[in-house]
Amino acid sequence: MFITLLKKELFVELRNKEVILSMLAFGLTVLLIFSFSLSGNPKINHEMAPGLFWTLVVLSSSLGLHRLFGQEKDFDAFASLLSAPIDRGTLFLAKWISGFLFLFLIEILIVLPFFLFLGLSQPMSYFPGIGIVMLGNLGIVAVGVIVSGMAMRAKMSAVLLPVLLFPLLTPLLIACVKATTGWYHLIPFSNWQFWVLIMATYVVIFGLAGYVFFEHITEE
Amino acid sequence: MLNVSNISKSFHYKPVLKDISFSLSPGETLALLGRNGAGKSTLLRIIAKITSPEEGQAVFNGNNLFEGVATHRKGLYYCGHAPGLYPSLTASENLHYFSMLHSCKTNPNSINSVLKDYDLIDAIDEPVKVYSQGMMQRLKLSFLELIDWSLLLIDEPFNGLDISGQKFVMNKMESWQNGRRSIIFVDHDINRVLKISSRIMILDKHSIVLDDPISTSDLENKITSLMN
Repeated sequence: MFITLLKKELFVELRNKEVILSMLAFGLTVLLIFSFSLSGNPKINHEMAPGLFWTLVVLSSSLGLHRLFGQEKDFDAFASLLSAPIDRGTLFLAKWISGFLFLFLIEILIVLPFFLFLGLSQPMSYFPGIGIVMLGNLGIVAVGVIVSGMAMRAKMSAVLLPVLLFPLLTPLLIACVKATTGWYHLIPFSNWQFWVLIMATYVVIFGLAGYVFFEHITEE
Repeated sequence: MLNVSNISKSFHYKPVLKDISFSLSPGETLALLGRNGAGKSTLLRIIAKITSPEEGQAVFNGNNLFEGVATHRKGLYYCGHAPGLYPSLTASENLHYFSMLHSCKTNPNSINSVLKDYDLIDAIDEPVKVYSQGMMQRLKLSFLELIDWSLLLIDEPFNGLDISGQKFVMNKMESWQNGRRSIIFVDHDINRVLKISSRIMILDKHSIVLDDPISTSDLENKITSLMN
């Protein structure tokens, strides 16, 4: 059932490109503003890069997360989903993984302009950075799907989503920035492994909470 | 088949349903009547587990629907006011996807044949968002030909349909009454309800004020006086 739900999420998004295009357009615009507003000093940009990257990610993702249930909301397909004999935890997993894939795709598309526009040096190794980004994405999207599922039924969902999302994401984003700084600035892993553990804990806690409580979150 | 007991629900501290209890046997077609805001749609959504009740339980085929076990909803199909479909998917894609969610395998031939029967074959490749209300209603109902259901919860099935569409839905509902399947539907037309249902229930002031089989004498007058 998970595969059926995931395939549908990807298929609907590939047809509409609603989430991906809005995130990409927004991400590139913010990046452009960053590149013009910063001093142009590569050393300062190098220092600030991890924070700028995650600011970019979280702002773009909030736009995509807002539309994550858009297709279900428009014609109330969500009622058909909820009344179907499928486990709602599986619904959460499908949304989580599809949201993760959309966000990762956006990051792949903006990472090159990010390095180019800000005049940043290439990192020494890529894999730890990819791991940090993937872990951060899982955490952001897990929280996002829970909050988006809660906000979907609310009349002021556009307001409710950022009001709930950003405070909940703050600890995770601090950990993301610290871990990315450690990796990008070539600090020994033992000095920043604590932040990776925080990120992993976040992913586990919100992933499990979403899986277990999505049943109650989605009911009116 | 379905046993609903002591269901209560409020929205923003305003009671909508109070202590609703009733049973439904296989083969029964129950019409739910009542004024706007009487809680008819809410009752259907609670049984379908879209809305959670504050109190009460609903047992379907021996299983408590509110326990949170997804398979307990097997055989139950909810058809609400809204289309309940994915707007960007075509008719066949929607049917295929929702059939799979109900653990029923379909193939292009079976879908085409159903869509032909429901006069939607010409729009098979169109996204559902361009469909008229009548077409969407027919598409929602066509899904019932593909899955194995035993309880249908349907909210205002004649809403937005022209006369031929209403006749089509009435015929379909009559054809589904084969002794094994049960239907609970919401409607406002007393004459139509008297034609196609086997039992009538009226909700008023959050409670059941009438629950009688269609054979009850002087039922039409009773309904009219309660509805007015």
